[in-house]
Amino acid sequence: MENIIFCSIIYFFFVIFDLKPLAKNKDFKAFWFYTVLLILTYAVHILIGIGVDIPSPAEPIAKGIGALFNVRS
Amino acid sequence: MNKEMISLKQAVCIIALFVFGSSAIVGVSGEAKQDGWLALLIAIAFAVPVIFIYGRLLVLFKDMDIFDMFITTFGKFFGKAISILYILYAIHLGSLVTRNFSEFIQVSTLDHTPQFFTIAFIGLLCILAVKSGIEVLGRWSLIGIVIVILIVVITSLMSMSIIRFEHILPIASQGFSKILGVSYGTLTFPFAESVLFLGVLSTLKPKASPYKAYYFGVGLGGLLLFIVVLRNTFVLGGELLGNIYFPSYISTSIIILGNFLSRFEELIGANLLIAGFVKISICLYVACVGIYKVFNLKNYRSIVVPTALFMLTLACIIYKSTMEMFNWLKIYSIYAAPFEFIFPILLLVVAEIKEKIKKNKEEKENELPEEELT
Repeated sequence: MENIIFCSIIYFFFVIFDLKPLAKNKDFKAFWFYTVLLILTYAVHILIGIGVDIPSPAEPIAKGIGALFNVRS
Repeated sequence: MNKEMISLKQAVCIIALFVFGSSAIVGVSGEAKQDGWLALLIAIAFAVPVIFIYGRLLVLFKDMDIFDMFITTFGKFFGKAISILYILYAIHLGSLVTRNFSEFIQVSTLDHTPQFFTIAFIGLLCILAVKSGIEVLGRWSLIGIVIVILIVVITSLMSMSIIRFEHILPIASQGFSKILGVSYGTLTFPFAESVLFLGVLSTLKPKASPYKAYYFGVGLGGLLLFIVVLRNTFVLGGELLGNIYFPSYISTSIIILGNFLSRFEELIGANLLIAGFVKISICLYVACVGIYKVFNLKNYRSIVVPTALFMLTLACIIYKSTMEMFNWLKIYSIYAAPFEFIFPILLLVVAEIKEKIKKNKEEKENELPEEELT
């Protein structure tokens, strides 16, 4: 739970002091890029905070390479 | 906005800290046991032609970073596709290094603190550094390298009392095929990771040679690593070295001087803070510059925060345990090969062919008017 609170505080400050000026300066490309990643990462942190086991992207890479080159991780 | 510039000295220091970065903590060539130093030397020798390729690319494509190089050589579609792969590689490498440090901190000191907090604070520091620009990172590296060299020298001198030179024997007992395999792993992590500097050294001052920056930087980083590996081997011995995580931490933790001076392992934590911070910041910087180039954004600084958040989130979920982290190193040597060797070599071959065709054309054009005159 402390993860979620800490994360929310940090994200709140980023939105106010970093994301908002982008919209003010009409830099919409960067604004949308920022917003999408912000929501995505925040969602992942919330899920981690409530105890959801998120699969690591390293696993499929390791499996793929292991199968191709016969390497055991 | 004025273009950012770093001097040759700053570039050398950044590269040295980058190479030294996580490898000093995680340990390199440990699998080769007491022959680790030999594997490291072979890896440095292998790194010479590899960094020559990187240097040559920087000479051929003056004032261009790796993303510009790919886009101008392979066209917009393929160039941008390869650039996106490099962006993902930079983000992935940054998250791996961040996780190395959070694991190290949890194992060594803050065992009850959730890794999320360690990762968050390292991340905030890196965001601040990258937002300040590469010049600030360059100036910081000038100070950082002095501290790192002092720490390496001090810990090596302090461990003189517990060094046993016979730990290095028998030499080459692991067999040359094993040593070569380990040195390939050491080449991919950390020496050839300096491929990311193709995205940084375009900011080098015009008179400075990229070859010098690469060779001196990798040389200095390699020398520091060599001292650390030798110290660890002399103190711990081959068998122990091959079976423990974070060998530098263990080897310095057993130093006790005069029955009252101890806890030198905290100096290893300082290494982490200085060199690791530079390595993560460089990964973040390259990823941000890549995104700015590929998506035609106004400024790379505007996307530092979301890219860093993505990198740090990845660092939180990438491994489940310290053991998994160390096992990943076997996979990493294959996973990193396209980014460190195949794409740069391909780029160099195509660029050299294009350069030759261009030169031939220019020579022919110069010859024609002379013939007409005669």
